[in-house]
Formats: sequence, C-alpha cells, structure tokens
Amino acid sequence: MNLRTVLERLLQLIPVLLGVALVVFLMMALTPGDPVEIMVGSDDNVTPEQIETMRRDLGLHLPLHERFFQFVLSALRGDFGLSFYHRRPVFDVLVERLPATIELSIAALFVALAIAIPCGVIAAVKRGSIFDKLATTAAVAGVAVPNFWLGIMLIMFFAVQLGWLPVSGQTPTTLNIPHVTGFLLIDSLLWGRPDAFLAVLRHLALPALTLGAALSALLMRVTRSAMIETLQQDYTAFAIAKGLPRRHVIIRHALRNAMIPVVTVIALDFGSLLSGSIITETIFSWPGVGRVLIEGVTTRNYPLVQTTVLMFAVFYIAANFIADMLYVAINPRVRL
Amino acid sequence: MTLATTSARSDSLARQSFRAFVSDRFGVLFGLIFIGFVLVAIFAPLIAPHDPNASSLLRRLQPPAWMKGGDWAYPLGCDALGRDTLSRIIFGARISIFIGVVVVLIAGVVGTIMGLLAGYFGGVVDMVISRTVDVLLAFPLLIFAIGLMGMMGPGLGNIILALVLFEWVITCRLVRGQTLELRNREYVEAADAIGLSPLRTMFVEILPNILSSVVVVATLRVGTIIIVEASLSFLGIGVQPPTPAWGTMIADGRVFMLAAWWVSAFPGVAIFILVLSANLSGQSLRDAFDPRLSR
Repeated sequence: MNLRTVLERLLQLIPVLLGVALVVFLMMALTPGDPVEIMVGSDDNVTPEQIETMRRDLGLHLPLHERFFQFVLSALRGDFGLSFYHRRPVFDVLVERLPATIELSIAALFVALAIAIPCGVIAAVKRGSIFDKLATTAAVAGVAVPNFWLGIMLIMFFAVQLGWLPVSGQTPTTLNIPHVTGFLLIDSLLWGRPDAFLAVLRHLALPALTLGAALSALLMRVTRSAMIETLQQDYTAFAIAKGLPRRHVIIRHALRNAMIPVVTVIALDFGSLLSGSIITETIFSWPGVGRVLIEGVTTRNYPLVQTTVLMFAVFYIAANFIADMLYVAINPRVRL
Repeated sequence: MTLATTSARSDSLARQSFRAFVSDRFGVLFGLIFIGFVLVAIFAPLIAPHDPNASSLLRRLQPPAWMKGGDWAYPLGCDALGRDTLSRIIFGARISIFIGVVVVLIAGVVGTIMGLLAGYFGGVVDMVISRTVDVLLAFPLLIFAIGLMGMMGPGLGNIILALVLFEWVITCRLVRGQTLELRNREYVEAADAIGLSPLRTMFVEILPNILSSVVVVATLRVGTIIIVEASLSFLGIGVQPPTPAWGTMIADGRVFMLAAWWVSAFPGVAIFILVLSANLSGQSLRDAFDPRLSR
C-alpha cells in the first residue's frame, strides 16, 4: 500500500463527511420549534427585539443553504456554538467528556478480546466438543441480550447482591484525582497512588463488561471460524509435520493469520461500541460523551445533540477507514 | 404441499428451499416461538390476566408468585405502581413487534424501489441514491435514531419515522447490487429490446428474482430494530408512559433494583427470547432460501 492510495481514499471521504454534516444540519434545521425560544425558555423579561437580535446572531434569518455553508465553515474552525445548558462552547464540553468515553471503550475492547480470543481458539481447536457447543451457543445468545438490561443485571448481582463492585460512577466521591490527561487510570498512576488506580479499575469493571459483552460474542464467532480455516491450511499441516510443538503451531502459525478478520471486525464494529457507550454511560452514571448526548436530548440542548451526533459519525467513518487500511496492511494478499 | 413425497419431476427452487427450511428443526422451533409472540401480541387483551395500566398501591412491588408475599393471580409480580408485570409484558409485545415489523416492511418497500431505480437506471440516479446510502451508513443506527428523536421528540410515529429513515438503506444497498448483476442478463436485455417499459422490467422481470434475498435480509433486521426501539424507550426518548413497552419497563425497574429485581428482569428476558427467535429463524431462512448471503 503506498501513500497515494491512502491519500486517494482520504479524498473520497470528503463528500461523505459533507453529506454527514448536511444530514446533521438538516436534523436541527427542520426541527419544529425555534431554538431561540428554547434558549429563552420561560424568561418573561426578554423583549421581542432581543429575540430578533438573538435570531440574527445565530444566523437564523438566513436562507437554508447559507446557514449550511456557515455551519460547515464554523465546524471547520472547531466552533459548534454554545451549549444551552452549560453556557459554554459545545466543543469544550465534549473535549472534557471525551477521555471518559475513550477509557471505557478501550477497557470494553480489552474485556471483549480477553473473552473472545481464548474461547474462539479453544472452540476451533476442539471443534465439535462440548466447550465448542457451549461457546457457540453463548455467542449466538450474546447478540440478542440488550446491553442496558445486561448492565442492570450485572449491577444487581455484583454490586447489590455480592457487594464486590461499585454501583456507578467513575471514582469514589471521596477521591479527587488530579486531572492531567483526563484518563483516570493514567492520572491515578501519575499521582503515585496505587489505591486510587485500583479504585478506578473497580469502577471500570462492570461498565466495561456491559459494553464489551456483545462485541466479545461477535469476536468469538469470527475468531473461531478464522481459526478453523487457518488450522486447515497447508502451512499449518506443514508446521505440525515438521514436528513443531502443537501449542507453538496454534499460536504462532494459525492464530496470527486468523487475526486478520478479527482486526477488521473490531474496526468495523466500532459503531456498536459507540452506540453501546451511550447506554452504558447512562446506566452507570459514567461522565462521558454518551451521557451528555442523552442529557442534551432530554433538555432539548440542540447544539450539543447536533455536535455529538456529528462527532460520533466522524469517529465511525474514521474507524471504517482504519479498518480498510489495516485490512490491506496486515494482509499482503489484498491490494487495493 | 406434502413434504414427504418425492416426486419424479424436478422440484421448484422455492419448494426445495421450503423443504430445507422445514428440515432445520432449530429454525422451525424459533420460527414458531416468534409466531407465538406475534399471536400473544395480537390477542393481548384476551390473554393478559389484568389491565396493564390498572394500578393499586396495595400491590406495590409485589414479588413473583413463587416468592414470599407473592400471589398466583400476579405470577411475575407487580411494579412500583402495583401494575401486573405479566400483563404489561404481554401488552409490551405489541409495541416491540409492531415497530419491528412495520419499520422493516416500510423500509423494505422503500429500499427495494430505490435499489431497483439505482441499479436499473445507473448514471445520475444511481449516483444520487448511492451517495445518500453512503452518507447514512456513516451513522451508527442507534446514534442516528437518538439524534432524530432528540430533534423530533418522543412518540410512536417519530420512532417509526426515525428508524425507517435509516433502515431503507440496508435493503437499498442489497437490491442495487443484485439489480446491477441482473441488469445485463439476456432475459432483461430481451425485455428491454421488445420495448417493455422500465417499470415493468424492474418490477416484473427483475424484482421476483431478488425478492427472496430481500425477505431474508428483512427478517434478519427485525431483531436489531426491536433492540433499538427498546433502547430508545429505555433512554426515555421512545415510547412514552403509560403505554407498556419493554424498554420503559426496564428503565422503571432500575430505580427499585435493590428492593424488586423482577420489575426490570422479566421484560429483559422477553426481549432476549423475542430477538433470539427472530435472529435464529432469520438465519435458518437465509441458509435455506439464500445460501449466497451467508458468510
């Protein structure tokens, strides 16, 4: 893969990004109700003249296509307007919340991989065994479990019944970890307090399991079928014939090649991780972007909702792009 | 159609496929469970033991029948307003199945028409439709739906609209691809050559050949739509109370997690079984009718 192909692919993303911006813009522009009236609320002291000035400031008097043009220009400058509720730029609110969501998503990915890869490999190696049947059934069932319900059940069992893990939040209320990176696991280490690190980890466990469960079901199926395929290849048979230890062949020869589809599925399924984070954050009172989106929806904070949806879509496009590139990079047989 | 007889003449593809589906016991079992849910939803007023909205403070958070303090008149217990959980689950099936089926049906029809137009005419028509599809596919479904619901406000009609606005893309992409493939087949060229109108070629010559794929993919999407609707209702931006919906019931029970696990637990089990039966019977249909689609 050369730089030229990457650049060409990047250029092809521009119309999609513009289209996404248009959809998000229209979501808000075509909404019944006037944003200014929502901003003003029930404040009786505001005169009609002030409302008119606010409308002009927001550019609401302009025709639709000009407003879209303005919207794109401002977005390129990182200006997404003010959050009605926070009275601060939407961009700042989201940047502040982003580390919590990223930390949760990465932890969920780790949980998913930690369950999926060993189970998938064992199921493939012992194909047809009871373990294989159980794992395959669990994977099929796992996709049908709604994650908001799973989250509540996990809280009931591990937090309420057994009391092993905290019910919600990112840290104990008594713990004030100094913000450096915004990623609490890293910040607590930088702070030099292993107890704080452990506390953060304990808070992370249930949300990460809730978010990672569905992904692990999918990844297990992919790992299993990819492993079955690579175990049947000539190079695997050759490695065994050469007298290499079985464990070595499974891990070094078969698993390495089976990882190609797994990596692609991870990137392609990033969207479900994003969607899931909204629900998981709501259940566990996790102070991330997903929770801010739902708060924005319930308080009709349009600029915030608009920007969050746009941001999620851009992340999703980027993940798909990376999936494409990775697929080519790790699989020399595919050339764009 | 008798399934046991093997006729001397060659069977039609549809008949073979149907036989393949029926011989898949798991597929049939889960198909029957799904049909069972549909029947429960349709006859909910006859089946439900109580009025789903009848509340009584005397029965507030009453446990399921087999637990201490339970009563077989209210087998799955009651919620915080003393409403019968079982009756609410039975009525809640109506919302889940109605939205799942209606969204997939409308989106299937719209997507099929768009896909046929794009694949048959090509050129500018294809470009406009395909770019729209690309843009919509850049959104995760739930996030698109949350964004739209946030703007339009909650309610049944808005949920259906928000989901259809995204969902037609799935069918459209499939139909466009298959139409492109069939477009250059001789029988389609012959239909054009004898002067059949494009509409007739699309709907009479091409459509019947891709219909089975459309039906299979639609069936496989029902489960996803049901989960998304339940998620929206759970988040409080979907179906509004007091209408019984499974997502809302789970959200209601969250507050009483400590005292009454059953309020949230049973509606979740209902979602799980319904979605599982929709997915598994859909997969069996796919394997029988359209093996090309399975990967």
